[in-house]
This record gives sequence, C-alpha cells and structure tokens, in this order.
Amino acid sequence: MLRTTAVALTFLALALTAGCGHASPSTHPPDRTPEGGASLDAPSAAPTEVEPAPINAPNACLSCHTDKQQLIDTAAPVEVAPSESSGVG
Amino acid sequence: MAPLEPWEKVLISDAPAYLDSVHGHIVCTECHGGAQSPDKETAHEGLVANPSQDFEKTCGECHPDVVSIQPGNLHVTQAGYWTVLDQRSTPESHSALENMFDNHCASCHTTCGDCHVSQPGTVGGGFIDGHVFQKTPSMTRNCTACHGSRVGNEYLGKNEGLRADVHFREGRMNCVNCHDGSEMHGDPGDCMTCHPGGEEAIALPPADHRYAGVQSPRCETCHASAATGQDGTPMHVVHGGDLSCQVCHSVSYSNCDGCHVAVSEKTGNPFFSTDATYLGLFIGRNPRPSYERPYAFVLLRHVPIAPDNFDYYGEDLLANFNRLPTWVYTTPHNVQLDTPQAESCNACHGNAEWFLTADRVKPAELRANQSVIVGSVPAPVPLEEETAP
Repeated sequence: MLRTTAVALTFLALALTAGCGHASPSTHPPDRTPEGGASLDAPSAAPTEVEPAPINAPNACLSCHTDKQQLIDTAAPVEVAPSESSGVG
Repeated sequence: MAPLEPWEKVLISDAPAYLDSVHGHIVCTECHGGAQSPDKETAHEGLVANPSQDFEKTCGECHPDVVSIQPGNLHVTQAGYWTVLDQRSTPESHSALENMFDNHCASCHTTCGDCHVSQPGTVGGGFIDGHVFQKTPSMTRNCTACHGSRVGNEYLGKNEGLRADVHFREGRMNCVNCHDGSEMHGDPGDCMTCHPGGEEAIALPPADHRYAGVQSPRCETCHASAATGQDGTPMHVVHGGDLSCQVCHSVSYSNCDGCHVAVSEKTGNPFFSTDATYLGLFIGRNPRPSYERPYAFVLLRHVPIAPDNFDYYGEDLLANFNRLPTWVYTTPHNVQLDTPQAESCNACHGNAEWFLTADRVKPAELRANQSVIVGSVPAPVPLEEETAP
C-alpha cells in the first residue's frame, strides 16, 4: 500500500512540475514601426531570421565592452592632427 | 559638445539594459563581423564599426519599411548638394566637383546608427546610451551635432543677444515634435504609398527641392486660427497670404559668405575657410513661389558660396554660378511672438533695415540675385491707418 501511494505521489509531482522549465529567449517579432515617427505600410519584403544570442553563452565582445578599465587599457592612442579649417562650418 | 574619450565611445555601460532590448538579442558579430575572441586584434579582424553603412543588409532585414525609402532620404543621399552644384556648373566640371565633394562634403552622410545608436562621426562618434538603440534621436547629441551652427544656435538661443526659439523656450519642444520620422527617413517614391486611391496623387511629381512640394512641417498645423486671420491679429488678416510666417516671427540669424576648400600640403587633410559669418535678417522676394508657398516676401539667408570656392580643384568649376541666387529661401529656427520688425506697421514699412535691396548685395553677386532683390522698400503706412484697431 505504501509503495503504491509513493508511486502515485511521484507521478503527481512530475505532472505538476512539467511546465516549469527555463523560458527560451523571446521570439517576439521585431518592431516594424519606423523609428521616431508615423508608421508606414510595410512593403512585401519578408524579414530574414537573425541568429538570437544564446543566453549565458560566453561573449568575448561583451566581456570587453562592458569592462571600462579593460577598454581604457587597450584603447589605441588617438592622434588628432590640428585642423587648418577656419570659420564657421 | 566635448568629444568622448576613446573608451567612452564604445563602452556598453548598462549591459542588462542592452541585452533586454530587441537589438541585444542579436549576436554582436551578426552586424559587426569580427570574431569572438578575448584577444582584441583577433576579435577586431574584419570588424565593421558602423554596420548601418550597409543599411540594406543590416537594418533592412527587420526595418524594410524604413530602408525601402532611403533613396529619397537627404540624410543618406546628400542630394541637396548636387541640386545646386549641378545647376551652378557644367557637365565638364562634374568629375572635379565629385572629387571635391568626396573630400569635403561627403562626411556629412548619415547612417541609421548615426541617429539611433551613436553620435555622428563628424563629431567623433560614440554611443549615446551604451549601445541601446534610441527610437528617438537626441536633439543635442544627434540633430544639432550636425545642424549646429545655424539651426542649433538659433533654436537653443546660442547667438549672443538673441533668445531661444519660443517653441524651445516656452514649449520645451525638440526637433522631432515638428520633424517626424517620415520626414527624417525620406519621402516614399510616390504619394500612393501613403495615400492610395486617387489618380491626382500619382500625377504629382516628386519634390525636387526642400522648399518644393508640401510644406512639412507647417506652422498652420498648430496655429490654424492665425493662418485664417481668426485670432484677432490684424496683421494676420492683412499679410497672411503674402508673407511667410518667419518674415514677422523670426529674428536675426547666421549668414555665411564663401566657403573655400582645399587639401593641406602639410597633413594631406581637407580643410575649409569661410569668408565671413554675420547675423542679420533680410526680407526678400520669394525665389520659389508655388501653390504651397505663395508668399511674395520670405526671409533670405546668404549661403556659403562664391564663384572661386572650388578653385583648388580646377578653374571656373562654377561656370554657371549666376543661375542660382546666393541669398536663398530660409526658415530660421528662432521664432518669437514679438519681433522688432513686427512691432508696428511702420517698424517694417519704410524701414530699409530689414530688406535685401541691391545696395546690400555684393556687386559680383547682383546678377545671381536679381530674382530675390527687393526693388523698393514698401512705403510707410499713414499714421491713422496704423493706429486703427
């Protein structure tokens, strides 16, 4: 009797938690409203799928570009030639 | 605007905010090329710093509605330069002028990213907000970063002794309150894109000048009662149709004389030199009267052009210089309710101070400006008429 009850409870627990996995990245379609203004009729060209960034995947670009000190340390020296222009541009 | 430090230009200052945004879901290398590597040299091999230079490939995949109208976008095409260069020159000069244009003018070309991600390259670039895409560009870090010496200074009240435009001073309005996205991105190729259903719409030729075609923006959109003379202002009844709004409601604005260009022998860099810059308000005849702009008088601004501007690139490249005025239709961004020229009827009538008469035009430019020079200043209004309610 105890074994039967334990098996039944296990199946019940599995059934109740079946939908609780990690959510996948958002697949909402991109906003088609033109930036900064009124919407226009969209032409027929179909958008191409873009590769979604895997969540939690190592991203060397982000690792560096979110690290202020690393950007300071690796920045190329800027050589600015004095401008010979004169007057209002 | 102080330039950003090199690190500051490329720092993603708020990674969670960026990664939560739509564009943050795209792998960096998808748009920028390069490679995923902790080594800078390896990561930057084949890097595309400004992906929207190729906007059809990058932005166009998700924003085809905007990208499809780019052929009509002056921010991209810079067609305005060629509207005047073509008319002032002959075909034999075009090759030399194209060389000049590439050296001195093409840097004002604007990409999607120059408005929606970064400051424009002409002011050194750099993220506006840590790579988070901005639906609405920043007025000061995008719009007036390029349109600064005239529009920006006028609108923000940076010309000494002159107040900021009332729309900014009182209304805190920014550029996009009047200039919406459809204007920024270029007009569709034909009217039917937005207004299907009428043959008349198809028959309208596309505007060939920024002061041709439909007025957009137009003051009357918000100030309808003024336009119809129903706001209790007698001057709107008398002058509503023959003066552009700015004639009475603008104040002094910047004018520039010739902009000479050359390439430095020392550095190899292109440079320019403008002859003079001065403030003033000049009422002249409308060079482009049309159904949309029927005014007899408009404000005129001297543009930085002179016959010898491009002599570094060849002799007499502007052989047809006189085909266009050097004083051109302008709509200064320094609107005020009360202005000196509109204080009373005779503040303007009989007052030569405000008008572009022949004696105020350089002798060498008289022929070019025949169509806009005011022959005689309007006569003073009799006193009893001026004081009538």
